[in-house]
Amino acid sequence: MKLGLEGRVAIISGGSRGIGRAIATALAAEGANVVLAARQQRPLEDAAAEIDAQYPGQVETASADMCDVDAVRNVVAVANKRFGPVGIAVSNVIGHVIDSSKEGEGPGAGTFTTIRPVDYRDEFTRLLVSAWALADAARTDMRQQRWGRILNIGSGVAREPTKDLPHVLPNVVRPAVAGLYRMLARSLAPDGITVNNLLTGAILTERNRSYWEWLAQERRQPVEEVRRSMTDGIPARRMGEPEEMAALATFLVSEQAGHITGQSIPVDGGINRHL
Amino acid sequence: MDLGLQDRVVVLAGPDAPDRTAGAEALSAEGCRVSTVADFGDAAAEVQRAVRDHGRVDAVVVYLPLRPDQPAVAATIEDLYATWSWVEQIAAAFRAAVPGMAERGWGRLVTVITGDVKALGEHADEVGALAGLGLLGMHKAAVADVARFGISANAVLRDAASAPAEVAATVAFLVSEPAGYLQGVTMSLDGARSPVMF
Repeated sequence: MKLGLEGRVAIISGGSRGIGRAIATALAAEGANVVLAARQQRPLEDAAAEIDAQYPGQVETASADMCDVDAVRNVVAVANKRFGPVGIAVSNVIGHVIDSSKEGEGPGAGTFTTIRPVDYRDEFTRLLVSAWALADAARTDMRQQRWGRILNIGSGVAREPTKDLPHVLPNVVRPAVAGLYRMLARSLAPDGITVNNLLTGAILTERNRSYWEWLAQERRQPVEEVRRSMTDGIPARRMGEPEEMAALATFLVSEQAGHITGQSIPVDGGINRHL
Repeated sequence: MDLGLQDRVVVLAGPDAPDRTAGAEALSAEGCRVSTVADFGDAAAEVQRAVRDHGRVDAVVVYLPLRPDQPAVAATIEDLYATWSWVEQIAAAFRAAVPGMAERGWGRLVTVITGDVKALGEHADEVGALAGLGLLGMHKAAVADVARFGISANAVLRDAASAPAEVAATVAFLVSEPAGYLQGVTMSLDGARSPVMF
């Protein structure tokens, strides 16, 4: 299927690893020019080199803290300078810290009765402010083109908070991000801009591997047992691949998906039970 | 109906006086001992004060103010943080009350928010709905954690046409003894404005 993405300019935050990297690669494969943004320069360059080897001249990097409004505006400026006006913005910023050696300092996992109330603010900055700032910075270009695709990589806990994981921070902030995107969808639809949200399930990413290791320690179980019990809870009886997230992301930012907006769509092998 | 609220100690918090007054009247009429506070930032301290005065707090009720025509697309970062600070402050107030509730095996957390969390209205309080959605998520996380101690967390969804007295009656029901098995639910008072089924 021709998706009409040739020459479109896309920014992908969290673009150096996991789902963000898979989306960047998939968009480049469709002929889009991609700007990878993330905090750490080195993984960014590694990811860009790999994409550039397959799709030469279609990738740029911008090292930035996507929670910082000015830094996000600078990423848009980098994209404009290298490729032109931005048409696609994918927000893919992680929340609370699982492995501080890879992800830096920040609030960790916790429950309603253990987390500090101030940690809700930090999670809000990471998940909601970053999504808002990228949409806000990119929509001027999109409005001028009367075409835009804004996408957030959210989480299934936006609709169904997990009971068995210490996930209160995303449980609180993810629904607000899903709501924000629904609101932006309504406001931006007259300009030809769609705004959608993917609800990530158990996807085989580096971050989720860290999470299973952490859970294994917490529960004093082997990692394999943690993974097996999680897989047993998935109707499809397997974890998802980042490329499966990227496939839906690519379709949602395509020409054909222009009438799909304001949606939160799970990619989770059937975990989500709500109607 | 006997709501079983005689001598229950309830703290009500929220910046809009009609909300607090109507809630306090409805709960007082059922025999509750109520105290009210306008600023969410003072709510945790009010819970602690009520514990000192009455020996316990049985319910915390918070009213997010209704601010129509607040589109998220026009918000500033400062607006977003100012509204989100309510979530942080309300969490602190809930947390101040929860250990005592868990010890006694009885507690009620009730949040009154905009119906825009379920379906965006024509004059939506979008920025307020972001905080409302956060609190709905917190309710779900809270009941996973503390429902086993007889504590519930539920929400009333209202819009500009909802009468404060009717909101207060629904709040009183959610605080009541017979509402103990309602956990993490939303009750909409919208005169059928919302077109969504669930």
